[in-house]
Amino acid sequence: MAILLQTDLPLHLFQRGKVRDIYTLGDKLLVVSTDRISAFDSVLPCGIPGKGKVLNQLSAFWFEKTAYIIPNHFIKLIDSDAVLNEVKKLSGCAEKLPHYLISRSMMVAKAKRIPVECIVRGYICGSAWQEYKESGAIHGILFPSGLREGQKLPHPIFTPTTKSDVEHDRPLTQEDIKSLGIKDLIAELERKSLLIYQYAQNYAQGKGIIIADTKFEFGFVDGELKLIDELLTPDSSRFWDASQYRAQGIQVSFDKQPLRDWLLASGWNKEPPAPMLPPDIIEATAERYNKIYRLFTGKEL
Amino acid sequence: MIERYSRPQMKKIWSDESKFDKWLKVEIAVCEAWAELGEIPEEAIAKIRKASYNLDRVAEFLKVTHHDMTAFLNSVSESLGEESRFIHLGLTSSDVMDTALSLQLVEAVAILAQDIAKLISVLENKALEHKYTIMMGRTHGVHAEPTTFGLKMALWTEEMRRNDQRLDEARKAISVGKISGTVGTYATVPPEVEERACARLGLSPAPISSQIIQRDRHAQFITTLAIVASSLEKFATEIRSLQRTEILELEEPFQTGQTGSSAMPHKRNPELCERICGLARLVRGYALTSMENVALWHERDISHSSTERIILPDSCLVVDYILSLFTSIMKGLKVYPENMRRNIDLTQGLVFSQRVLLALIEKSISREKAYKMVQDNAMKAWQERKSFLNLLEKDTEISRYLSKSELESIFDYNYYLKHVDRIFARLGLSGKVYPTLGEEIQSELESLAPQAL
Repeated sequence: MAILLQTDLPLHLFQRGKVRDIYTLGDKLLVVSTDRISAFDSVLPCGIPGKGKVLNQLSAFWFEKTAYIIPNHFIKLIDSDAVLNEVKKLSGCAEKLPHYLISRSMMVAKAKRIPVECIVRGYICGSAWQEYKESGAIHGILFPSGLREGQKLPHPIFTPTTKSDVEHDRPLTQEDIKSLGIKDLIAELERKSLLIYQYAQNYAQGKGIIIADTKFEFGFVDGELKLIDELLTPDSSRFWDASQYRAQGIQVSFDKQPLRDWLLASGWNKEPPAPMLPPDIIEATAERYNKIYRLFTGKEL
Repeated sequence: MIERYSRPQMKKIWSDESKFDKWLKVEIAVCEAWAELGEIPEEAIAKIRKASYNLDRVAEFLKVTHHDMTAFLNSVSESLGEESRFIHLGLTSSDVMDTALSLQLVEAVAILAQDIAKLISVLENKALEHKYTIMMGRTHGVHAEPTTFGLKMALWTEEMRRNDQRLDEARKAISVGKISGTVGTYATVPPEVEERACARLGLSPAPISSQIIQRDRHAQFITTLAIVASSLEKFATEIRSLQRTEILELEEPFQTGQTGSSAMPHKRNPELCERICGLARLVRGYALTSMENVALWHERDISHSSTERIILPDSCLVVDYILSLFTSIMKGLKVYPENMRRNIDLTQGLVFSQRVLLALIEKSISREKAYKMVQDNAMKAWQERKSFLNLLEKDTEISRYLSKSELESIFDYNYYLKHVDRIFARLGLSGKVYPTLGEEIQSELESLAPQAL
């Protein structure tokens, strides 16, 4: 399978993220998920074939499933030549758009983004574990003593952080809430975030996956609050293999396991540039992504 | 206990099946102890470990024997061959029944301890959330001085922590078994069997017993539950009082669709809190009975047994129920800080009278004269419903000693909050709290679209 590392469409580039390239389509956006992958905060020099498709279609899958909880920015998948043609028309672009956009891109509404990362945690790990170890609290919320790393929390919690291009994300404070003017909105963001998480967690449980934590973003489209960005993908969530789950230490993410093991064993100092991956690791990682898609949707890509 | 006030997990512990399961567990543990001492052969013990009973057969035998234990043993024998002769070897019924009862109580305590832990966590969060929510403190039902709602919650938190400790003490008191024969002399079954069997069951052997485990232990357990229930009644009474229409600083949660009165559609009654107060009375009644069970004749009589069939399960069920009910009340409790503030102002700032008095004395006025100056204005404020501060500011005599700004600084509610941080620190209550929706989310999700799951 061909690997797509970067797009260079004859359209107005709206934003290039770690993994996704986003283009303007009038009042809409075209979101293209590439096969780029990052680990330990570095984008790797090689891609994972098919990863972009998994991300794109998994987001679309969840957007459709959760629309009854909250509307979202998803309009349609680019899944055929006909839709691709439609995109071309919307963009006013004279050139033919590349065929590879099919199944790895989607059309979404352009939203006014709320600059908050709405994180929901169902399990204690990562930065939450570090904070809990030091202070007994997560995001300032006190938790019972004696929790172990990786343990399920008594109930899922909402731990929003800032989202900024200039500084590291940090826990949202009352001052941030005031200065962002979202005092009346934050409770709604919490409720919606917890609802989507709970829904997805219930669903995932039946599929043998644990959603340890995940991140949502919200925005306004024509004044209406909508879920935006990507949804419940391996890039925005920690997925654990329920059959491997042991609540007493670091759990490895379902998708990153082969990659992480190899990178650690390679002796890489975790400073960019990251090393090239051997073919068998790329293949194993690609299979992990496909497996996640298969487990969640019951379909093959 | 009636179905309505029984929660399934606790109910299961007190079912016949659970009781007989534990009897069998004790019988097998005793056989294993005998086997370790070489009194029961290996091949027999292997079969005995697989012994079982049949509930229907026990009921049939009971009609004939009129004795729970013999009916049970008859049924167990049916599941075995000739090795059934080793079952109940050297034992008296109470060896099995009392030891098994302890196993039931230990299980019940584990649930109650979880209930208490959940409540404590909700109370802690409420305390933090309302740490500085100012409200009037009342003594004799009458305005005293301002306090905060968070302090009230912290007070309850600490009380529940004490209850948690008490329950742990009670757990220790009832975590004992006894396999000591008919009058506690071990004549037919040596102490080694008791020690080994109890170790297998996770209990300590009662250091000494008569035919039974002494009932002061069970009384300690139920009186502890009665104290827990009384604490909950105290909290519920507070909410009821603060929900009175004229005060309305708190309201217990009221569901959409719920009705308060068949005749008066406007009613929102604190009926959940009233239910807690009612059920707490029941538990105190059980506690009284449990203490009357302590004084049995000689090495035992059986007058306690009939009452224990009721008071032990029911006190566990009721306290489990009211703990969980009160926790959900606290989670959904409506707090009205604006009404708290309005009620404080009802007394026109008169709470500051003592501080004005002290300020005047500091200005070298005699105590008697200062008292009279303050009292005159206080009475006027009260009778004419006027702001105490305004009256003082207009009083030419007082303004000779205290400037407007001095008076205003006296009328500062923060004065009463200066040690709140310290009190919270003593309780180990720190950190800020975000609203935690937690368990309500699942039910909201279900109400949104149950078919989507």
